[in-house]
Amino acid sequence: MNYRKHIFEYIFIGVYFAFLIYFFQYLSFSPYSAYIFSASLPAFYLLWSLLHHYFEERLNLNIFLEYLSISLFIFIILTTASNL
Amino acid sequence: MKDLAHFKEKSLMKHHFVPNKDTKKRARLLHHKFFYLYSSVFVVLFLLINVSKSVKPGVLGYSSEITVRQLLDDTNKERDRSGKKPLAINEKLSKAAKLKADYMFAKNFWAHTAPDGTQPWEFVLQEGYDYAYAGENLARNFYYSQEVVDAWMNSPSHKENLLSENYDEVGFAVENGVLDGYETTLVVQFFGRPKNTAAITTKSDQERYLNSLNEKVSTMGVSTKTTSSVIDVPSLFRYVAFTILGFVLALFILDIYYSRTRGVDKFTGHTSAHIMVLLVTMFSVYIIFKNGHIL
Repeated sequence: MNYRKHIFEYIFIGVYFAFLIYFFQYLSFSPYSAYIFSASLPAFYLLWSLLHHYFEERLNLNIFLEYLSISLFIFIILTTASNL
Repeated sequence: MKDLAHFKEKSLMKHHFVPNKDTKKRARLLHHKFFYLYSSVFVVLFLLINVSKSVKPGVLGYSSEITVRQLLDDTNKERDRSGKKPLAINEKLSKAAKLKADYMFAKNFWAHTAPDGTQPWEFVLQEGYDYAYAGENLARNFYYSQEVVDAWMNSPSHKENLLSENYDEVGFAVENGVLDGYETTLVVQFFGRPKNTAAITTKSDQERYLNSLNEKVSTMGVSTKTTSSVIDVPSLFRYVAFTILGFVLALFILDIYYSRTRGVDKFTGHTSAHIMVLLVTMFSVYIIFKNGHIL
């Protein structure tokens, strides 16, 4: 994998995660922000992966299922945690 | 023949944990089907917790070590930092806060206005506190007093109450009970300014009241008996989540190491991105249970 070729995509996702965590730390006392966070993290990750692999011309069903399953896994963990 | 079968079996086991050079695939335990299995663990855990809540309310809970004295100190520290005069603790406001907390447990709600329309101010008036201004902050599921005040300070509307110059007095209730099936600790903070400002609690009255609370403080946080009888939901969930997430992360790290050292060229998604998002998830679970909720 050529990291340098996609450096901006990695920086973008890294910054997005840092931004999300930073704000979530301050807003986590609100149940609504926890729900928004639980949905936006996996949704963004899935979208990022689809675009990233599409531009890499490596997008196929297996890769889609891999990201989908991980995003779903994250969504379920965060949603159940927020609802307890 | 026996050796070959044994080798195949060993190789089959190995590829549950490390990538396969021949098929160019990840470890079997990282296959997307296994992620559905890992996810189902959380769904089952969630269902079990909800069933326990209904069948035996109060078995599950959130423990805490919140005290009225500490809440008052932390509130006044924040006011002092902002150059505002400290609030005096008022017994009537504290009794009104206790009434509100008990009402929330009795009617099983968590809101400023009760489902039957009862307003917070009705509890204040019920205790004979004739106010010119009054305000209310609520909190639940926090561990420590400082965390409660920090959360209020991070929310603009609660911060406004906490630092308002319209108030001279404050009252707190830290009450334990079963809400939504969970054993939990509710914090109610009432602010007020009496119509008759001459009636503001004196320092000696405050000390007397706080000293009288001292005996109650030990039972106002979750009592020893309650703490030992409930299953702490955040600890349980964190334990399960960190175990499964840690296991998956370890497999991904092994995947990177094994692929690089053995030259396995897989046609899969990006392992480093997966590791990054799983670490963010782990941290998020920690944050979700670190803080309670305020209203």
